[in-house]
Amino acid sequence: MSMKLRLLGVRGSRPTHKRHLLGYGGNSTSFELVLDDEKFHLFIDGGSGLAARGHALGESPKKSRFHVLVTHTHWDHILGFPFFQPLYNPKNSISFYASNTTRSTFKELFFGLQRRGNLPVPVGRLKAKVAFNSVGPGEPFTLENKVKVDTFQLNHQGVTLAYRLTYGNDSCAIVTDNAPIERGNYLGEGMREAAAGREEEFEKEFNEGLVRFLAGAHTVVFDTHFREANLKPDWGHSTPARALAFCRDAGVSRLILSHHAPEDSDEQVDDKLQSVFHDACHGGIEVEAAREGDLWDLSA
Amino acid sequence: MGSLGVKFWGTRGLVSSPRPETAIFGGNTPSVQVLYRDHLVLIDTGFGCANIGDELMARILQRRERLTIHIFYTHFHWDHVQGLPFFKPIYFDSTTLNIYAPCATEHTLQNLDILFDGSYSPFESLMTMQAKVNLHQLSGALELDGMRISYQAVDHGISLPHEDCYAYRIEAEGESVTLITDHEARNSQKNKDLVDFAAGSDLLIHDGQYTAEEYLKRKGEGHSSVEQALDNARKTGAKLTLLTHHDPSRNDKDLQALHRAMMRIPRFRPVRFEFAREEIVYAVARAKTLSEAG
Repeated sequence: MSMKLRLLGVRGSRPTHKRHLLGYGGNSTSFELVLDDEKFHLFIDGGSGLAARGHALGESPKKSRFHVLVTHTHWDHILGFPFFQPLYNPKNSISFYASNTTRSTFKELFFGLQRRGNLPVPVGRLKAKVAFNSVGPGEPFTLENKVKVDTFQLNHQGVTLAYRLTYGNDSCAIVTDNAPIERGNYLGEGMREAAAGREEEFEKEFNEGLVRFLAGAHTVVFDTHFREANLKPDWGHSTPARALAFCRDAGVSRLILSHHAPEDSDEQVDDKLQSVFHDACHGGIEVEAAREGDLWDLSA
Repeated sequence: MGSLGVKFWGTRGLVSSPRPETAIFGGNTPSVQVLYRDHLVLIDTGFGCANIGDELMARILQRRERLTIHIFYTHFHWDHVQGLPFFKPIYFDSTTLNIYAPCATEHTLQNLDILFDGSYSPFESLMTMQAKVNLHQLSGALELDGMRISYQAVDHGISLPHEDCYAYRIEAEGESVTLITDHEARNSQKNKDLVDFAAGSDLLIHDGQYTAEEYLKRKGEGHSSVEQALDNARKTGAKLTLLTHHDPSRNDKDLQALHRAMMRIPRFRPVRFEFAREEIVYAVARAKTLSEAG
């Protein structure tokens, strides 16, 4: 009974192509959890990385069940959905799990991708049975009695969720996208209201809550778009140093730095990794830089 | 000596396809820069436009230039518009963005505004971005800074009949470039009219998404097979044809094999063509020289 994590897209903000960054990869965020049951498919987010994976899966006529967890609805996390081949196979069932916001339900935004005049493939070919499940922060659920999913609201626009997945002894947490919560930088829906009049306490609660959330995971994938030197907290992203601090406090085994900035070359991602490597070793944490195509074990 | 040319910032149709196997021809969705003197002109803003946007930052930040950028849209499918919120000059109030399309400006705004919607992005709307944005409805040919820009409707397939898509022809100082994308070059009056529109162009940019076998399964979806594109190229007499809108599955090796296969077909022997590569400049002057050399 094992679960592994495959990195389908590790680029933040937008997919990008430039020769100097193809080593780590240019496809935007998408992850796959691979279980020993080959009929069970679990994905997190539908960046462009999902489109390429869907191409490989789509050819298969086998009837399959797909589960897709969505962290939030920024373009880089959802633009691959209309190109996900399994959606066009009538034998498939695809369940989406996402939070709704006061602005919109996920279902509305998903179908918004298929707007006439904008969708480059003929509308109406979506033939799979699609279901939309509303999930919220701190509301755990289980997929097919197999994978337990815990959620946590991150400091990013809308209701952005971190997901922690547990299957037997294997576990991982996906933390993308998330900004430092200091000095009134409250980006998530409802956060400003919750913090009103008690900012210091709120920030402490958030940080401690995130540490507790991560403590259950063997491997954590964390948004490390910025470096300390160029950090713009209100953009909604974090840095390697902060990711490491959370993981160290949580006692995590492995940290994978992800959401690489589209401007970052392979060399710059190497530097990003090196910037925390020594400290990570000190803290007994294995630190890696997310590379498209990598497949990670999630147990000791 | 002329000065007209093009540079592709994205050559990939439908969805970004960056991977080592697409390093040569590119993985960004389409954006074509028209090069003419020192003007900044783009046709479409797929994700490729973000890369030219990044390059322009030095001019904005260090040289403090106030940039005027002209963007022409062929249509509003995601792959042809999705890069606009990531085009960095739009974050600066020193930038003027002139946006042109052959439809009502309300229609243009509606289709671009969604990219900046607060549910999909950290923004609000196109018009609340820092740059000064001017929307223009094209009506007939446009004279712009020494260029003459005209347009013509393409055949965007029977599956997608509700939105018009346009080809553009740019002429300057006796040189010309015609761009035909998201067009299905099957036997139709629209195709005949387009061939006339593009006739005599020095450079022809043409949609060549499918192989012949793929096209059989994709009839009516608004894209051309490579053979259809080259048949059009032959009829227009272009000095150099650049095939673009590469299918997401198409690797560099596949494009190279396709090129070899096309050159073995006798009627395509006289057609000088290439599959468009990202970040390469294709100048009319050079195409003319090569063409004269035979």
